[in-house]
Amino acid sequence: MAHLVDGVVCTPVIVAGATIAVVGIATGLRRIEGDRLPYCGLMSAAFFVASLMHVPVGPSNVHLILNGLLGIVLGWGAVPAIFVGLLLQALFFGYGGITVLGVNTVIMGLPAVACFYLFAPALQREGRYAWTWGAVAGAFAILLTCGCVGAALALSGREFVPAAQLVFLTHLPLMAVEAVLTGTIVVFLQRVKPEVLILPSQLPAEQPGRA
Amino acid sequence: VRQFARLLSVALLLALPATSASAHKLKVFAFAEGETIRGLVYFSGNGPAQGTRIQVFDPDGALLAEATTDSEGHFTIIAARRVDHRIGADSGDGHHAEYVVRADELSPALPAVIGPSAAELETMIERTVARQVGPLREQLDAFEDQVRWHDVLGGLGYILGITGIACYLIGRRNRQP
Repeated sequence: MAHLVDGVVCTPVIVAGATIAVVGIATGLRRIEGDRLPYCGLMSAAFFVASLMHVPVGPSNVHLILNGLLGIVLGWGAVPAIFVGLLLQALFFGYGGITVLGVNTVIMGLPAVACFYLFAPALQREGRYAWTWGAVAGAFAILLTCGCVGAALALSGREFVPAAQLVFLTHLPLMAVEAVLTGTIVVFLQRVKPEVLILPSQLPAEQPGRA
Repeated sequence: VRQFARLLSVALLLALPATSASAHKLKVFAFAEGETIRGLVYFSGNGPAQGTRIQVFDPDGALLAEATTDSEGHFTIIAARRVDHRIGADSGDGHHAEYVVRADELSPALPAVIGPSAAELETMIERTVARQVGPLREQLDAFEDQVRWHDVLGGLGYILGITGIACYLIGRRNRQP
């Protein structure tokens, strides 16, 4: 599960995760533009509901995360959006623990931001390959999430390494599902509401400067 | 003469078992001493009947206990219930005798009907309750695990609210300068 539960990771990891999460959330809040705030809420809602879409994988079952999509659309704003989604998931569904909220935010937020920097510019430049870039972003976000889970577990004790490998294996099918889904959603947004995907102040290509 | 002889032989045949039975008729006597039934089996006029099989039945005919008389024809049975004890003695060679020890001779402390013991009763009740409550508990567990629609809607409502507050704050910040 990408949602770590209470008591799985050790205290230093929890503290480090919380610190990074606070920095990420602050950065995200500062970078969200006023008129993009509704998208942030929308994406947070999508993230929140996506966790209910379960994909059965052998004995385990994983659910959608959609952090790749959030990264592409929101950039740094994905971090607070993911944090809110995670908080509500923990409170309402019992997915993931409260003390590890910071760690979970980093585990899912970091890949989102990475996807933003790696794939959002390409997505803007090469609109024709939107599906491909979206799919790559979706799969890459899951891959990186698994890496983060593995790192968090490994830092908490060596015996968790096999568990981290298991997480990676069970998330392989999810990568495929997320790739298809993210690619499709990106193409859909591009056709129906392209302004959702445009990130004016955050693209390295154009820096209009904020008022 | 022939007819008389036939009648005589029939009479003899009839009389023979009767005389032999009365000659050493098997008899049982028993009395209750609290919860213990002591008894004696003897052949009338011929002394104790040793090694005689004793079977004790309740009024419904169910076997309660079995015993064998000792060398002096005595036997002892521990009664478990306060009911009439029908004691049958069988010497194995066709002799049979019965004697009834009545319920009121036995200790009043004995129960008339043996029910399950307290511990057995407890396990029986527990088993029954568990069987009836089990499916319910399963249902409850499944119900708690279910992600309920109002939870989803509630979460979406919170997100909407948070977004609204953020919009308001940004709007106020933009208006101030």
